[in-house]
Amino acid sequence: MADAVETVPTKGPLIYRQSIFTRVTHWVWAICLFFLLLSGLQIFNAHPSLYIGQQSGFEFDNAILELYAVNTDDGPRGRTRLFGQEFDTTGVLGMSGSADRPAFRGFPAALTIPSFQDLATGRVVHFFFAWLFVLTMFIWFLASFINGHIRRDIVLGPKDIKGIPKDIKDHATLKFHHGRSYGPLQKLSYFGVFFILFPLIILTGLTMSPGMDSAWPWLLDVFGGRQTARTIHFGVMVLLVSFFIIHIIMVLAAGPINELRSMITGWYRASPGTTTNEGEQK
Amino acid sequence: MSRLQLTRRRFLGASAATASSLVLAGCEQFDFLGSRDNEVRNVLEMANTLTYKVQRGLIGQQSLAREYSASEIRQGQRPNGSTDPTTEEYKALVASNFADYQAQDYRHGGAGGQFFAGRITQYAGAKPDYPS
Repeated sequence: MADAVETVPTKGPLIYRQSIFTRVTHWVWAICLFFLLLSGLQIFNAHPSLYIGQQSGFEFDNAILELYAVNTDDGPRGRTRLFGQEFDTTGVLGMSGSADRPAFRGFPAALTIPSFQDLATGRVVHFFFAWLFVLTMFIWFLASFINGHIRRDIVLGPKDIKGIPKDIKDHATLKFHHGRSYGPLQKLSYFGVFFILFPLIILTGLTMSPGMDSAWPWLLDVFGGRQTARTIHFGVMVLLVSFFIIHIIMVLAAGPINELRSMITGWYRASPGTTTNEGEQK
Repeated sequence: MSRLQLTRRRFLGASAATASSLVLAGCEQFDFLGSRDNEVRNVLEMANTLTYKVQRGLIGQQSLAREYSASEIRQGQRPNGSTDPTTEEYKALVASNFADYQAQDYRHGGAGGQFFAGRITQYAGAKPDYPS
């Protein structure tokens, strides 16, 4: 029995960390964002350029990103022009597909839904999952305000802000504290996603609709025109994809089984010494 | 412990399934959504009705598109779709350099004023690459 007691301190308590609302909205969002990304790239491919301003310039140049194909002495090549810098991106951007049947398109078939060029279907898929995404966000905000998830895990308190330098050091050395509430950097990134990126990608998406612009003309003033809104929409997508990559890396680094279990069953193995009411402010 | 291993196995199975569907996804996995009579597509299309109704509710009867002054127009107009129709009517308009061109204002039953004096340029848009 004495031996058993020796091994116990290496394991912390199992705590109920994620409510049913957090878990269900998490997975619905995962599905939504997957379809939104791939149908969004389909829509982007209908005109694979991004501009700054009120209009897309073809008699003047206000493009910051263009994907296109050019004819060279070695045959057609795919090109990407980003902030005036041109890159050869044959095989991925501008031109992709097999050598005998090349496709001249922005993003390759593997990254769009459907794989072939079909703007109408891309829009059908995009808007369906956009509604599901927004509905899920509404439920998440309501539930998270009521059950304290936002207060406990998303908004940074003075203690969190003071703890940021230490948390950066801990992340750099892959030492994670598994507590009841989220750590400072975790809170910071989720705050950015929920309170900045999600609202921004929804509002810039609405700004692209001429109908919405007549209902809410302020959208055009806030974002500086439909073309700028489209560019911001794309930029936020890039940030969300980056968030996804870091999210997956952190789940793998912090213990994928434990992290996945907490997002499926709600139960989480906390660090030794964690009290079950840690982080609760009543 | 045995319970934990079971969940672990289930996790691994689920994540492997998710990962493989993610890899396959972009390719042809969801191409069936492109066929107009697909049942799943019809369900997804119901969101369009929701979009339409919510938007019309927000827009109301009186909202108009924003107007821009002539100085804010920085370039010519470029049409989408057919730029050189072959109908007799259009050919006659071309022959007269659109001197007789008039937009019909059907709402008030009368002919509208001169509507469109923009240039017509050839638009070399991307070719669609539907699977053959």
